[in-house]
Amino acid sequence: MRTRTIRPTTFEPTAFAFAVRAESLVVNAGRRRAVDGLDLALGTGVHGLLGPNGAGKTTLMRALSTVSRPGGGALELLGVPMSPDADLAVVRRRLGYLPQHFGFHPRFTVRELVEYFAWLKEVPSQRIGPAAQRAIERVGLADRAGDKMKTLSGGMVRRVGMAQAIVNDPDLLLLDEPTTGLDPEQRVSFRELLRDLGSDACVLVSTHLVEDVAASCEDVVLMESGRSVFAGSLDGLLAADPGASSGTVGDSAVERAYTALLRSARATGEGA
Amino acid sequence: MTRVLFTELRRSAAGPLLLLALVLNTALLEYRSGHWQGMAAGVTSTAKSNLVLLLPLTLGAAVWHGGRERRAGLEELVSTTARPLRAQRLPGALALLTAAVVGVSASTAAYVGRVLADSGYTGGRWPLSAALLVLAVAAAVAVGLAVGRAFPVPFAAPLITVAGTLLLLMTAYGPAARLNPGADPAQAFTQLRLDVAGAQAALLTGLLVAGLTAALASSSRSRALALAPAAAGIAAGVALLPGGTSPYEPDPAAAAPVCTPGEPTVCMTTLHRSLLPQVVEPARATLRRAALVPGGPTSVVEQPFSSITQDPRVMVLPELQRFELDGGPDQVRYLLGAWQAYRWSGCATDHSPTPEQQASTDVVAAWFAQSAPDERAPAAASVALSRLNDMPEAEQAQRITRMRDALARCAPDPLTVLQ
Repeated sequence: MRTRTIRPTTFEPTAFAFAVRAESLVVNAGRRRAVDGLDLALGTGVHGLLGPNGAGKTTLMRALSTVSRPGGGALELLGVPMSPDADLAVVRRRLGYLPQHFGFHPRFTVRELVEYFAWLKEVPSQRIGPAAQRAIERVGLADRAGDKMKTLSGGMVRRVGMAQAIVNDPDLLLLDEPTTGLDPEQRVSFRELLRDLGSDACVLVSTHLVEDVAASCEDVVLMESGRSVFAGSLDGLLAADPGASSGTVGDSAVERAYTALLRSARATGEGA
Repeated sequence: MTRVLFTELRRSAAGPLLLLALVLNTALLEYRSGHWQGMAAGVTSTAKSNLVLLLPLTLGAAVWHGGRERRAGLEELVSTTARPLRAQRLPGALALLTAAVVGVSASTAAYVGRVLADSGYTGGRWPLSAALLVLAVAAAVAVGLAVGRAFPVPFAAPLITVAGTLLLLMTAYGPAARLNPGADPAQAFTQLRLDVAGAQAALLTGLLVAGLTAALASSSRSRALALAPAAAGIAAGVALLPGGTSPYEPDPAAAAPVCTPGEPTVCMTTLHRSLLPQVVEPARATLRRAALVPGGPTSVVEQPFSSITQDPRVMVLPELQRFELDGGPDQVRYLLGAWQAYRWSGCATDHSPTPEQQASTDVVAAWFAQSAPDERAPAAASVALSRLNDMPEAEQAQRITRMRDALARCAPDPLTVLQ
């Protein structure tokens, strides 16, 4: 049975229509323009971010997580414009982020690491313990909470990364390749967790694994060369390629639609 | 922050650093107990000189901790959290500071406590040495954290540890030793100069402030600004440094005599006043013997730095070492007696004594102590003493007086006075 988390903020009127809103967004990665004029509007729910290697997904995630500043255009996170003088702490308190490479202190236990991140995210001190315990339980690591990080498998480390991302009950959750290293059973549990989280937060999942998107995302953003070549529902993605359900390229209809859209974008120069 | 501070104390380099500081400082204080026994200032001064080993290791641990976040690949994720960078780094820095300071303070305090419990000497500016000890380890932590953040590579910690050791060893002697917090400890009856302490405090405070500023800085501009207190500390340290080469000066309070109320008077220095009960009886026994010598000494006075006295009525006990009491009253009597052979002259110290002079010295010592000659004494001493003891008491005193005079003249064979 799916449960929904009820928090005070659930009943508060939001001052913004979209958790993420970008207009002609430009983000540079070094000297390269990795995100080039992207338009994006994401509200509550689980959104998939798809695209080939070098499409600009990770650069976009880094901009949305406030690691890097936009190089042009407009970006609004949780109703706060990301201007040079923006108070980033306001956004960061309500942000959860799992980067592509999740580092950790090897001598910390699982609980200590998640509590440490709760403290970094300014969770009130009396709530840190319960919040960490709940986050650890949600990722299915309650029985390993006292184990040191260095003793965990790659999949478990990834789940700890997920726990730290959700420990502050974020309104905007950014997950970069979250299912790397998870076994099939863990991925099924993870998708259930995603759906649960997406019921009252904006969750953006950047991944190469199209089946994860198909299983848990309500809509999809497809990027190519720093631009969006498709943004819409999963059904819309399938409809964008009428031959997706009967084609031979790829193993699933979503994969076939994804491939067809990319090829089409490249052929027409869209996103290039 | 308390929760995170305790996590850092358990899981960071703070735990091993605390253990290292405790064990190493305790072991070194125990091993070097001859430097400090009976003196609180000796304990803190010896602990301070232990910094030659402790400071580089503290520095290395802090460098390791300082580069931890970047080595672990946590920097990007941590930068997306709401807590300001300075606040993020504070628990780790506090954990390291606590570990280093508690480690050296607790081990040093235990030995200072032992001295106080034994009614030892509590002058000699020991709190000043203790404060500089704490300041030095705190500065090492701060500088190490800053270096670790600037160079978060695995080889930085061992490199800095080796470089720090070399720097402290190279500046342990000569004029630079006055600014080196780990220079040799103070000898008995000396104390740290106030102007040297001021110079060291200025240098260490500058480094502490600079290190903390750089370690907790959130921008490269703030890190650059941290160079200012470091430069100010070095400049102030050099400016306050006095002339000369020694960081120490005589401690008159330690040398001040503390005398017995009754006669004959026996005086020890304030530093060794706790030894007076062990010394007074053998000293008085020696004085009773000395009363047989015409114009002989009537009091015993411990005198540091020199065994020479212009007053023949004073029997000088040169600076007493605690281990010299291990042999009981007999050893004290013999020690006092032996010094009666060196009453006026540096004869035996300027030249190697002849076997006869050595034997004469042992005869004088044994006669005053009313004992047999020392077991290391030449055989001739036993023969001569036996001959002396066979004489009437008044004759013994006369011959001993002549033998002392002969020793003072550096006569090649003072034993002839017994013939």
